[in-house]
Amino acid sequence: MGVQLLTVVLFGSLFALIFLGVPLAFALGSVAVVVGFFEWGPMALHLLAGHVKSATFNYTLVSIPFFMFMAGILNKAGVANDLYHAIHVLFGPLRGGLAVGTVLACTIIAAMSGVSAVGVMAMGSLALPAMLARGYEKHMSMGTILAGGALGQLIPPSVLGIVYSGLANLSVGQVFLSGLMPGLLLASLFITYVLLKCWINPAAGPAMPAEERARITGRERIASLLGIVPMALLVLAVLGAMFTGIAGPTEAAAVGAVGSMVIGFARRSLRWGDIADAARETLKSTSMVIWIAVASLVFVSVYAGIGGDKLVRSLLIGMDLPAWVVMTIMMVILFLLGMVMDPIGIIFLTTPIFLPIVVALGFDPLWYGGMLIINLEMSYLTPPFGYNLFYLNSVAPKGISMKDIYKSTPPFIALQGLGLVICAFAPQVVTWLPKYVLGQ
Amino acid sequence: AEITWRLQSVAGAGTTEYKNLVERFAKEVNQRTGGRVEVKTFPAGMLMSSATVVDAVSKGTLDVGHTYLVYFSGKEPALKAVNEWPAEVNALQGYNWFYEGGGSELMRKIVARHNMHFLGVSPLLGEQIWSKKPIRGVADLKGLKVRAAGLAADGFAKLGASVVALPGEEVYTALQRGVVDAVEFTTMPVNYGLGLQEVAKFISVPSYSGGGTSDWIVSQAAWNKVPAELKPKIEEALKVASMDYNTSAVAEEKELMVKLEKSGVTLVKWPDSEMRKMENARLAVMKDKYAAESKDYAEKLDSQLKFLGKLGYRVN
Amino acid sequence: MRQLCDAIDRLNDWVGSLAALLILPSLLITMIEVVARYAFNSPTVWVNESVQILFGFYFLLGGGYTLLHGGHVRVDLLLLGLKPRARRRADVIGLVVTIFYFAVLLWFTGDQAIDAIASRERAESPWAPYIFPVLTAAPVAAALMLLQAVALIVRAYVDPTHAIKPDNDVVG
Ligand code: NA
Ligand code: NA
Repeated sequence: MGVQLLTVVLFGSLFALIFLGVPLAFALGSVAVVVGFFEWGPMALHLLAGHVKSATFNYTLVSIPFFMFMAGILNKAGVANDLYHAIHVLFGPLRGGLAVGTVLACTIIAAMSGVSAVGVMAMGSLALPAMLARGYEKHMSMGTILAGGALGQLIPPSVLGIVYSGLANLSVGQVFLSGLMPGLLLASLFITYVLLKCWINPAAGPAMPAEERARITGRERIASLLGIVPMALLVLAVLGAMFTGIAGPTEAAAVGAVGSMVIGFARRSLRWGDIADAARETLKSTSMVIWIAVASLVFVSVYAGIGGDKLVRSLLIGMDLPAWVVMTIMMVILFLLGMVMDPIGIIFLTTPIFLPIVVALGFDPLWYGGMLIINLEMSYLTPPFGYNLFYLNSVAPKGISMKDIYKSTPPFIALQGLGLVICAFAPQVVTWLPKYVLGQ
Repeated sequence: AEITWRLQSVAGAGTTEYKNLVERFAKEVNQRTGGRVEVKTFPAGMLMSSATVVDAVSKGTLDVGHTYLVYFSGKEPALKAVNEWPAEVNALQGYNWFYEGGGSELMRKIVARHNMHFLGVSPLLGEQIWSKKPIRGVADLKGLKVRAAGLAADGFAKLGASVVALPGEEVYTALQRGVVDAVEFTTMPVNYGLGLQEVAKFISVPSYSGGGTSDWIVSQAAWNKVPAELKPKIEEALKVASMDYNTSAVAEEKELMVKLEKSGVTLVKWPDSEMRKMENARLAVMKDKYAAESKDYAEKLDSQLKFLGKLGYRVN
Repeated sequence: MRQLCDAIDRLNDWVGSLAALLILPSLLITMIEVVARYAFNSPTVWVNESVQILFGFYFLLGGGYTLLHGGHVRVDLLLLGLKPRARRRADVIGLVVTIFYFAVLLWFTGDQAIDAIASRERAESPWAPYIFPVLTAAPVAAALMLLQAVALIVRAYVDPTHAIKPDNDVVG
């Protein structure tokens, strides 16, 4: 079989299995195993064992359970409650203020968490009922939570950043920093959208009524601000440990996990049973992600081994298209994969093939990493497979259906896309900070 | 082609080593066998992680590996520090020992136990200590937090350094943020490509690990299928590619040193007496630790030291 | 049949609950390294590798537990519209594919483990810990997942009333 035909067979059967409901890891793995057997030979299947071995000894992957455990602890201990309360008091009086505050809370949460689940689950259970109770437009309310939560993977620390830096042989610190300004850019786009929408249509996000505003005392204001202190300390501990050189990224994740346990116990909102629960949930998420990573690596090995990487390269570079057209094609492919696949799996799957093309076209791998992660922000929101959709569904109040959640995403996916386009035209948004801080 | 081989290299895409050695080898094989043997090359990490390439060749998943056999030393202790020498007398010592000093006989015997044919070796540039403060001799290594692996790690530890094991992608940040003071990572061109000179302004020269080699292994099944008349041609192809690569690698390293000094990096020159202390520490590790664990290793080390002696090196 | 399925569930529940706790020692010894290096300027040679080995046992042995609790994510949008019977058929096809994959995984990680045990494989590092035990955990994990998938297929096809509900608390 020719490589072109094999490409169709490989991806065709992959998507067929995915839509049949086969778990991603096993759809990827079994397609790779069958094609590898027939087109490479029975000994190709040793790749499976080899990639299991590599995953076992990949130190950077250890940060994944640490960040996920931290997410579980933060959610169980309700650490975000105080943050939300403060924002409620401060921004409630503003038109659309609760939605703006939700984005800000997500931004702060993103600065200590390396995954997207913390923001979505915390704001989904706290901010969403509050906004709905005040008559906020429900799609806008849910959209801010979905998109805000995804910032957890863009604003450092970020598991996606760790995985990309490992594959691209870039320093994790640089990749992290490359996500900060795009993260703030996306946050300001979301806020601008909310403010504009509520300015045009005040009913979408009514301000806190005057009598309620009057009831908030100065003391309450100060107390609510003090409530943010533990969160701020945690942000400082995680990012501070990393950027002052006390700890590497995996270690910083451990600092965050231990720190969130300390805060949880200090607030008396964490019980030992919560820790066991969080540990079991973390095991499930980690095991799932690593088995997807293993299968993605086997898939890409088999595809490259039968000549797929050379085919993609010759298609993308060989046709003498302008570099930006090739980049656009790659971004579209990433977006489409993001609809049906796990973002970590996508990075494992595409980076080995795309990165040499990126370099050959003269693009900066650091910038590409930023673009990749901004692009994958969308994958958390795009149906049918989007983590944040599932998270929100798991915490949303009664009366919110999956269909409502799906319907809330388009404007925010468009805003994320706009952010991507801005970073394409102004690559400095991605690369300036890491180069400035790390002195290139 | 009659025979198509898959090869993965330890050299990254876009490095001089990949282009001038690996892709060149593939081209030479193709030409010298009249197109009967085709080698499909893959850069480091494309099909699998570098650490599992030897496993893959021994299982026949890959037909050829351009790698460091030390990756297999967890299974075969005779292969510890196989690519390294205690001291450098000349840059081609490892290469010449393999082809003329009895190395191929010794090594092929060991490698054959694991279903692989040891095709040959290529000269490898040495490594240096890249550091945030000047390291002028072995005394400065005491208490130093240094990232290292393999023989370098054991040697530094013997001299009193605190050795940290860090994955490659954390080396830059770890140096930059002072998690470590110094690193042993890889050759100068590769370190330069990673931008280590931005965060480590001192490089101790000369290399303490010059004269080593990278290894070329072929799965036994794949090698058995090669018609007898083509085998010498493939071996020839490797020698030609290796020699040409060596010339360009040495030149690249020299140019880089000039470039590094111009960009504000200080090359800290170690006196011979300090180099000797480093050599002795490395030799002690090889003799006391590695040779004690494996008879084959002891035999190989003995042969290598005799070879060094012939080149005029006085072994302590 | 039902008892066998229950036994498999209990086995994976038990293995998973134990594996889940490995995160606590992993966190603890990672913190030891941070303190040893930063406060006492003396990094350890054993922390990173021991955390890595724990991590290996962790995600490997958690595979069956994850499968049991429906944690292996999938796209079920198209299935939602199907009638229960058709849905069950799709589930069975999915499980057959999954079982096939686990069988291959068992075979090849088993082969890798046999080599590792035969050579008493160690890590290639200054500390050089034995790694053959964690490499042996891989085929054990494959077997646990294989058993669990069989239990699930029995439930879906033979005994649909005895199904367990997947949950929704996976973090990513
Ligand atoms: Na984050
Ligand atoms: Na998606």
